[in-house]
Amino acid sequence: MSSLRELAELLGVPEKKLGMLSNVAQENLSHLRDSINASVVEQEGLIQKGIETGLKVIPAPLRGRARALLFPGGQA
Amino acid sequence: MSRLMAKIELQKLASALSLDEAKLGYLDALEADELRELRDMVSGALYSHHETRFGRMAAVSKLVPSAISAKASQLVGPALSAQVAGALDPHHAVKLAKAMRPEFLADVATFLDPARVTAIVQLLPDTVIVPVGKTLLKRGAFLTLGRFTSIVDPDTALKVTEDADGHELLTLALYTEDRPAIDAIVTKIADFKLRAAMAAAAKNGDFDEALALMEVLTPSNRARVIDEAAHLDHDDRNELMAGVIRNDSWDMLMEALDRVSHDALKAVVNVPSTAETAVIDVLLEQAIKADRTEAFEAILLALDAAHVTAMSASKVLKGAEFKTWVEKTPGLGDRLSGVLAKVS
Repeated sequence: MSSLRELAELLGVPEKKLGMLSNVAQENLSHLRDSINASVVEQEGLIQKGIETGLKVIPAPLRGRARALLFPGGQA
Repeated sequence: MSRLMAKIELQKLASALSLDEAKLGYLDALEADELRELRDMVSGALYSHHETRFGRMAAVSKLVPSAISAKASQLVGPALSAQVAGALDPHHAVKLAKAMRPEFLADVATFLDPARVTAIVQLLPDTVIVPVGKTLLKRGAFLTLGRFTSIVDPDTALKVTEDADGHELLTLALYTEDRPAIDAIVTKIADFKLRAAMAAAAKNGDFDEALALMEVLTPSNRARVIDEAAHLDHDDRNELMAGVIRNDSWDMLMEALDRVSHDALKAVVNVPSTAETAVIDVLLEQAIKADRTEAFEAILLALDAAHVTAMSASKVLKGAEFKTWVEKTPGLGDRLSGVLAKVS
């Protein structure tokens, strides 16, 4: 069940900062939390796709350095 | 007005979450300030979630010539480019922006968080900002334009809006987040543009919004708007004053009236909606309360016969408070003696 506390955790703010949502129904708080999570996932997809696309236009001699900058731990 | 501003803020929050505004209907009861605060928290959270990777992508963009980096930005799309922009070194970002088409930069601007790119925008030359701004204006992207108005120099904003009509100017002002920025721009706007904005407000029934915007203006700019409103036709002036009565905007108006020309004041106040004793009572009460002697004097001397007749039935005018107020202001009684004799 969603709550202001969970939403505050997701947003990285103290719960008291969300006082304006104290009268919003639990199901709607859930919707808001789900929408924020969906945006995070959507951004994740954009980033993955963006990295792949971006690497293709980088000249070959620089591609290795770019890859090292993008994936400092060596992860793909 | 506050409901309108809340609606605009809800649109911005929905835009940040790539949602249809209707999906956030359960936030309708929130005030504009609360929605804005919530949007700032949501935008901040979305950005911070991937901040490290945006920083890495920004570092990669410095590896290659600007032209290639600009091409890569266009390939990855405006949404991601906007997020990475927040992590770019401002001088590098300016080089990239110069290598991009205004249409693409306008797309990027839609996704940008102005707070993260203030340093970049302030380094951009007008040759980049103005075409982008005009593109956004042409698209009717007031939500985006309004978010950037406060971080763009007023002279630059003026160039962006040089071809805007009255309705566009009024709408842009409504969407402008930083209210003091509106006054800075209005100071530089030509009188005929203010007249066009008031005519647009009349045509679209937007006087409530126009009056709310006037509240953020300095008295001298408010006076300019009133001077221009005097050129509206009789019915529109009547509607404007009906808006003043409905919104209880007398004090806001009186603060500027001593700077309005006598002829303009006559045109604005002598309309049917103000020829009611109850309305004049409210005006008098507010003038006394805020000690607006100069504005009151200007209004009284501008009233036509019908309004003087309406005033003659005023209870406030015959009250002790009014008498004391006039007596304590040196010379006011003498200056108004002619009019006061007619109404007493």
